[in-house]
Amino acid sequence: MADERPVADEPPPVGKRWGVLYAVVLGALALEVLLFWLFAESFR
Amino acid sequence: MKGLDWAVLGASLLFIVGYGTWRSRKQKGLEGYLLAGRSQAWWTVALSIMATQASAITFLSTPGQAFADGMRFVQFYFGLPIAMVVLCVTVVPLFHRLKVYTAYEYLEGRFDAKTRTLTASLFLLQRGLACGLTIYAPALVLSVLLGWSIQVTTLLIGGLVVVYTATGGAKAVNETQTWQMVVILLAMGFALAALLRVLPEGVGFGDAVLVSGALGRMNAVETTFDLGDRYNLWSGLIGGAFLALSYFGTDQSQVQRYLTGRSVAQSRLGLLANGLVKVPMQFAILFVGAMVFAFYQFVAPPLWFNPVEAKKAAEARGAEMAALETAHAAAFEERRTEALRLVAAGKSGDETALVAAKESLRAAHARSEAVKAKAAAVVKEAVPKGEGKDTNYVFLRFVLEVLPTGVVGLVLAAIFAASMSSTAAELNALSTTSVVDVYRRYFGKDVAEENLVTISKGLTIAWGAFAIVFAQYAGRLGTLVEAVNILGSFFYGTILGVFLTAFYLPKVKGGAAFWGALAGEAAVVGAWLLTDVSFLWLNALGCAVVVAVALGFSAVRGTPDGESRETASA
Repeated sequence: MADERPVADEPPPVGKRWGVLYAVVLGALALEVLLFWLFAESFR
Repeated sequence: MKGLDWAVLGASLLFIVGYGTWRSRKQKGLEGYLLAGRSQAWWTVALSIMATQASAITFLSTPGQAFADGMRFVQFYFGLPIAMVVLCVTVVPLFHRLKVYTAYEYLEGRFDAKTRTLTASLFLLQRGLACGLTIYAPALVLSVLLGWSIQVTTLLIGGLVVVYTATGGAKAVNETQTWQMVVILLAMGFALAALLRVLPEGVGFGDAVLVSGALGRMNAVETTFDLGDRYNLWSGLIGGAFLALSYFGTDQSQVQRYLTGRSVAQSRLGLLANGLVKVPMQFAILFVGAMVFAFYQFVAPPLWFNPVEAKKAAEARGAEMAALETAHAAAFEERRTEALRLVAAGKSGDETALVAAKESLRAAHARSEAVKAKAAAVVKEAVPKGEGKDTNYVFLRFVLEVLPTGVVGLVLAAIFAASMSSTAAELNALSTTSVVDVYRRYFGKDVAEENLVTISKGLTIAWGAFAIVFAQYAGRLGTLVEAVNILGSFFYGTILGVFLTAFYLPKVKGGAAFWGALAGEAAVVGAWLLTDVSFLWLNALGCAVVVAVALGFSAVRGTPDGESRETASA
């Protein structure tokens, strides 16, 4: 295995914390589930 | 297929293969060849991850799935964004910090050499056989519908992939996958647009959605909790997250894609972009299938979409098939009348008429489905070694018979692209694991880098040749094909169990993990041989036994001094 130099945890390109991006991804999932559910109910 | 279609297909394939080979011509050293020099930007990583997962059979089957069962398959992907976030927090920084080439290499630092070799071997066995099927499955569908021999389609798909994967390594795989994804997305967009234009006069987009929805094809979310139901919100969120964690976290064909990122941030962004895009993309592909379903409510579909099986059935059981064709035509006319009545009711705004029209259409559809079920039974008796269903042929047959010239070529290019992209990633991963975890680990510690690159290229060709040969004979193996599909579930649970132990149980050492893995594998084989448990449950069983035995072994033997060096929380 190669050397074990520490890798700096770069900040994300938008926002200061990765937590914000993770929340965006999970929030988008929640929104998609809600929209898909509304879609399914509308055309049932 | 017209001249323009051939031109679009040929130009797309030649451009992608040529561009990928040209862009990867300057790769230097083993890291350059196997990991594209860890130089890739996040969008390349994201498209590469998506292209690896989107195999051709997924591309062919997904619209067919919506056609037959509705859009509820989209829920299968709900766990994927959750898994992407978990991997970004845990696995990505760990693998980058250790600068590993493979996921299994990490296990030697965390446990020992034998655990690394065991998991790498399980991966090679499983993925090596699966790679043959990745080529075989779309080659079969293409050969049936284009009238080409299976040897030609397997050689075409496999041969092109081997050329650029062996020549340019991971960089070529990533560069080609970027454009392969572009072709796939373009083809789906054009197919949907063209589909809406071929709907019969007087039937608009909203009408098609109304008809499709009335027959249960818009069922994108099912909130009922039912363990026996494969696709619902809960199985998608929980089971889907588990499956995505094991696939993206422990399968080298995916791990290698994000290890090519030039930093932790770029790899993370690639995974997160996949988490954002994947669910809507699958929704769009399924929506195309639901619209194809709507189309065939107004335009007569074939009784059986697989033309080769339909012909064989007509030859063997001519009278029965002729009677079924007549019944099928009558059932279709009745259903079309009811579908048009529903469209008129929808436009009138009369709620009572709408409800009544939906009920009538459902009844007509049920009668039509009964005829189809009888046809399926006759085909199965006439073609005992056949596939038993025709959903994989629905979308491509629709494309070839209905869509305009040019779009047909683009969709075929997308199917080839999808097949090549996942096969390339598999060959790349098989070669990398063979060289890094087996050859260099045991035989080639002092071998020069240039020679390791040459050996990697040779192994890519060797694995490619194995996959092509396996694909040539896969059709003759009958039930073994199903057995190979099930084979994946024999190993995934055990490998995931080893990695979960490595990441989250820092006190468990190598011996315990190794014996846990062996026990997990024995439990899986035992359950398969001695019980009737469905093969999907073998994943969970293998994983649970590995973790339990490793923990038990550690408790009995005690934990040696010092905790392990690298866990996910490290």
